Amino acid sequence: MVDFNAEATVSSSAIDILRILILQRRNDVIDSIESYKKIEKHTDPDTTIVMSRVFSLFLEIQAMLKRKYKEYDELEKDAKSDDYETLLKTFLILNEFLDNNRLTRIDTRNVYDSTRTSSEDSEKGL
Amino acid sequence: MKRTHYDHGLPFTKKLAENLDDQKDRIKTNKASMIVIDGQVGEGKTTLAIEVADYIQGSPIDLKDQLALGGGDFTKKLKLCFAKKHVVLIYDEAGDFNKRGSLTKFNAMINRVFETFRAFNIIVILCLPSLQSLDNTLFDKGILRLTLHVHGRSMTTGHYKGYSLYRSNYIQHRMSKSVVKQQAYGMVRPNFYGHFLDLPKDRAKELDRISTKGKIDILEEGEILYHGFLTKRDMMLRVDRSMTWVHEKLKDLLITPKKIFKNRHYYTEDVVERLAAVAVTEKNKEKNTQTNEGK
Repeated sequence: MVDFNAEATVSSSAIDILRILILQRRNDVIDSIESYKKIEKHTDPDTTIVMSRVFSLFLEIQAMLKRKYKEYDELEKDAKSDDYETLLKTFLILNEFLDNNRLTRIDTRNVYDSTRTSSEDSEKGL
Repeated sequence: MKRTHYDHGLPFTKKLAENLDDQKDRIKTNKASMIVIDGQVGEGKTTLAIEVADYIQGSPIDLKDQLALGGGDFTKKLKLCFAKKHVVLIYDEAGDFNKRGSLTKFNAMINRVFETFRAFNIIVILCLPSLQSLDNTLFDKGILRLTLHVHGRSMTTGHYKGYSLYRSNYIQHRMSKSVVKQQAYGMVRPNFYGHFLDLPKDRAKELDRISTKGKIDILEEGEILYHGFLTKRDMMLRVDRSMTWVHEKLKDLLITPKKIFKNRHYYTEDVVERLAAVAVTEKNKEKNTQTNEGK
């Protein structure tokens, strides 16, 4: 939003802000999985942090999941589980969901043979 | 023995052949295609242009018909190529097609030719010293399809970099911002690059003969422009008399042309002044006669 008092005259749309929040949550889950894996061999860690972060990510996109994901109820249950494997599976589902909805998809550029000038020109609309 | 072909049978690297095939396909679908070969003096622009033209045509091109030196020659040979169904024409010494002169009638005419030449189904290869001297409209209209920048020529080989229209636009933009124009080629990555070999001896000799003659013609034209020489027609317009009158007076005054080029006689500026003086005297005489008759 534009806030003239704070001299923030260039606005960001709500979509962009939400997108960044979702990416942040996703990154947090990956971090927690990494930490879990680091100590897993030596101790028997609990999955509280992983679970809370997976669930946060779930909550961030909950409304969208309810609208678009068929097995929503089961996913909600799995997101609250304290079993590491179930949580990992849930995260993978959420991750794929984000990719399918183009929130994390980065390989959208067309691949063309740049050594063929005509391919490049046609790709660039010339 | 001097090598003129690589093992794959071509005088240049294969990648260029693939790109040229694409240009051939373009022409088949009635689209315009122009290839620009640029580079500094003596880097092998004409050599590569002939090799490229040979490949496009599928047989050695006729240098007399398909190598145009300068704008006037180009329009003439474009028509000739169309009549003889040649698929490619080289426009060498295209430096006369520059921005500074783009408002002149001549450049307007050339521009018009480039706008409409797709109807001829001929690929035009333009050789010029710098891409920057090219008229912007050729980029905007998408007529230029491939830029080949030649550089680093040795006694046996030369090097080239190939750029798409998309990248050529960037080169031109970079050139306009650079003090050293050639640096623009280091700022934009080429789509492909490679090298080419020299022409066979007999063909190189033929090219030398034609090219030197053309270059001398360009020098002659430059000399005419520099000295401001005038033709009989120019003088006729200046003194506002008929061509016969100019012709007769030149004979009476025993004035010989300063230069004869392509069967055209050129005279210096002072000849017009002498003719103008004669014209004034004649007018005064006529007036006096009329006044006497009136009295």
